[in-house]
Amino acid sequence: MTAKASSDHTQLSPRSGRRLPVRLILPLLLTALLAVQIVSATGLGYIKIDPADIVSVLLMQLGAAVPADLTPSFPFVIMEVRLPRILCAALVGGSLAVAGCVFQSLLQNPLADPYTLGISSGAAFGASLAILLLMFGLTLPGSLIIPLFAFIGAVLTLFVVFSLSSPSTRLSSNSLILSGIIVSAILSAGISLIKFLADEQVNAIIFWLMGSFIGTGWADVSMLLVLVLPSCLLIGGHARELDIMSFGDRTADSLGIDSPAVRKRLLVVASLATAACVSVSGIIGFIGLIVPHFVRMALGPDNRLLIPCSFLCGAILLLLADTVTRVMLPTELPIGVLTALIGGPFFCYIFRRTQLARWR
Amino acid sequence: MEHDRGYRLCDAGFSYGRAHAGLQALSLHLAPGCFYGLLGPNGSGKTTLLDLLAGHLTPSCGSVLLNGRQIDHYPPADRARLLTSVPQSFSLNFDYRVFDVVLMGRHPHIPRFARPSRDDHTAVEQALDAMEIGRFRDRSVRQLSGGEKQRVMIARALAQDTDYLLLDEVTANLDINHALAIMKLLARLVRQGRTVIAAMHDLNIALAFCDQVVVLKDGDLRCYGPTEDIVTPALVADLYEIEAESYRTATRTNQISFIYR
Repeated sequence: MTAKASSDHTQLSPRSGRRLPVRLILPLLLTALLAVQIVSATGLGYIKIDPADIVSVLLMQLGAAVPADLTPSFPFVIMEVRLPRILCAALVGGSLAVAGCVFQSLLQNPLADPYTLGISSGAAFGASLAILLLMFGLTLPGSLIIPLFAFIGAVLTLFVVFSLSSPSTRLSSNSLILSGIIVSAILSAGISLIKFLADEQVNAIIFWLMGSFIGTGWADVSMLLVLVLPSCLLIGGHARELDIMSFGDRTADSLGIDSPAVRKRLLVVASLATAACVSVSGIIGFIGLIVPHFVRMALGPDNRLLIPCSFLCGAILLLLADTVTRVMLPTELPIGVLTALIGGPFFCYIFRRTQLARWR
Repeated sequence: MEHDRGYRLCDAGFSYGRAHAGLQALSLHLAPGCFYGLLGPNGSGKTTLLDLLAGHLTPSCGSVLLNGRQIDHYPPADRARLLTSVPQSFSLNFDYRVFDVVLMGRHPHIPRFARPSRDDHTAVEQALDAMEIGRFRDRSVRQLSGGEKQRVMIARALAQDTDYLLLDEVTANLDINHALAIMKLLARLVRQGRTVIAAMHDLNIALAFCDQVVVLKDGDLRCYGPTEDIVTPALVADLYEIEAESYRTATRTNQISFIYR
């Protein structure tokens, strides 16, 4: 018995030793893929640009000399038009996926997504309200006021959902999900009312609701960087707590984790990141649901691997979708529609296949 | 301060709200190095008492002291190096590997950004061996049977390597072979100086393994003391309104047998 146990031990410990590098190699590979994708996406569009020219324009920003043969319009196209949009798409995709990861782990529900707590409805209500106010003669630049209202709407919704469910002491996942649904339902009715009032301008609202990266600039990129990157780092630092908390409060408690405090902290942080994303791009569905779901299916539920890989896969996927709608399609489709149209059936296919495999 | 070691409950009680009193105020001293059985019918407050002892619930009145310090005054990580608990039920929503679940027991011993050390791995291997689940180590916990899952959760607590272990009906899902193996292991841990407090329903297992029992009924402390003095046909009649008789086995253990008629 003891001999068997120890031979098991020696045989298996190298395997657990070999598993560790995956934790480093895979994120590095994905990062490289994302970098290549960013450069090649920058080259694609109405004007094709060589990767070599892109690199020299990027080096110019760092103070390198301007190459003699560079087309004069390239720096503007790259730096002012394409790159901010590409970075926005990558950042939004990444943080929606990480937020989805957090919501799925914390609410112990593989079907949770960043919008489970009604953040999308809050943001949509705020944005619709801003569009309505602009119609009725509010004289502020719409590119500023719409994201601002969306962000405020999302944060207020979060606050209401939390205060609705917090008297049930430990912020249980059921009470949070239920509060999210209730608040969403009320806000949806509000949005319908605004659409009704907006009458002929209803298209502007509908277009915003479907999500798009058209016209995003460096202001959006820096806003995302400030709000989203620290959130993702903080979430990544709590990976082990997230693993343990998925076993329930008593288990987490007995391992020295103050689960209500950690849950609240991470939900607030993930929601703020989501609110920032929504205010920049409108509502983009499915990324926050399917990316963590698939990464978990492929790599297992270990959050230390899941969180960085979800960020990178989300970034890659949304940038891909945005490049497709920007470059390949004859007219720009709203990206939220594209992600749902492609992501939805794909999700159905994979889901059905795993269900069948489970019962075979 | 030797007399302060162990648990001391001073008029500690808990109420889940006006309608439902969880546990009446009770005073109790649980000495270290002892195997305690927690007995009582369903809904008698065993889990509530364990939650108070584990610091999962804060008493609505009175206080719960561990080694002379109020349980809710411990920083969570310090508490987790001193005591652990295995709940009766737990949620399994994701496919964690058995090995990784047991390794989670080392969480309080591993600094935030560090990797598990050699000691951590040794503790996990010992826990896997003790629960005889080494051969499942790479399986997903969700693919295991109920009893196997329960053994994984106990292994998780063993890997945590604490002086105090609180267990809530952990052998309820297990076959008699594994139930006895776990009780023997717990008894061995107690002989090494640890303290085990286990809620259970099986009076005969309590008689065979527990040094002391604490008996609850309707959220009230009924009695406590050495197991053989307490667990008698009279107690069975009082708790469950069932007739029973007591006999002594060849291995000099008292056992209870119920009279069916």
